[in-house]
Amino acid sequence: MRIRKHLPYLFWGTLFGFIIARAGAVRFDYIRDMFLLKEFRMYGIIGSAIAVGMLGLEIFKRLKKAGHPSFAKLHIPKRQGTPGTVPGAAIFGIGWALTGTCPGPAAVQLGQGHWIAIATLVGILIGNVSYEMVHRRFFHWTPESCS
Amino acid sequence: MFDLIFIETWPWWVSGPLIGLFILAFLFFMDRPLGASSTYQSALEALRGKNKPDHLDFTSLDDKLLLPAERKGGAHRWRVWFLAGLFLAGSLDWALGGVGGGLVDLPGLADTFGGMSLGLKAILLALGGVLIGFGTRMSGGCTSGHAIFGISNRSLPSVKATLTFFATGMATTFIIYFLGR
Repeated sequence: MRIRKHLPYLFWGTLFGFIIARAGAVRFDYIRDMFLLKEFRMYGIIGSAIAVGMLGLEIFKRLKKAGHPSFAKLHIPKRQGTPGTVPGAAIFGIGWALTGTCPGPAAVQLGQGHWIAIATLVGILIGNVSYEMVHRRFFHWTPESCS
Repeated sequence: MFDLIFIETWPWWVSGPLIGLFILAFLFFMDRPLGASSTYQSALEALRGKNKPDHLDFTSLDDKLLLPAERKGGAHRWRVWFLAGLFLAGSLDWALGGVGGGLVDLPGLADTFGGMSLGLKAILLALGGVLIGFGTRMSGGCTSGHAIFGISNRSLPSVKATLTFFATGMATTFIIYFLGR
């Protein structure tokens, strides 16, 4: 049954959302103060997340290479990048600053009862659709997915 | 110990490492790399009915990650569940007494765009949202996929993307904040 296969992702999404909510990573004012270099908090969060993640992935990769049964099957692909990687990131950065929100937190904010976040969410969906149209018309590379 | 969970905002040295452990656990148990922005693409695909022939194929990288049984279609549907989980987490945070829960406006939005009506702010957020949606799809990732998972995985494109969106984000904020006063 598909539901049973997908239901665990509801749990993982909730776990991730709750961590970033309690981290304050979903707050407009924290993101703004990060960009204004007034607050260290967000840099500490992102920096320590990367430090732990990088160390862990390094161990995962070693275990995978050594053929450890629990790690041998894991997929840890490196990004290839496309001609859109950097220009797209530039556009995303402007949106991130305007809304004080990256894609994950926008959904969390709505859950928190900030109804105004619907505007951000609708915008994100429109942005996805318009990129599809622009891509099909003008670009010639294969888009990468967010993973 | 137990009531530590109910502190409204965890210190960065708790929440940051927890995010790091999260990506490791998610990879270990589900064999998926973390990524939030593509959940919206999947939500759109779910809304429109999956795998229309003229759909853009965003799966170039993802295909390698799919389990064989999923390859035929509806493969990204799990991301919609992940997105629903994010929403649920917000409500859980509100129910457990998180900061600013239930407020229509976003905390801090008022003192940045002071004097703006709620409708005007909503239009601004929607415009920003369009840039987020467009930019993340073009770039193939966001803060979670590029900055956190990508850099942890030592992917060079992700490092470039992260430096870029931090630079344009910072420039935009400085312009808004200092021209606005």
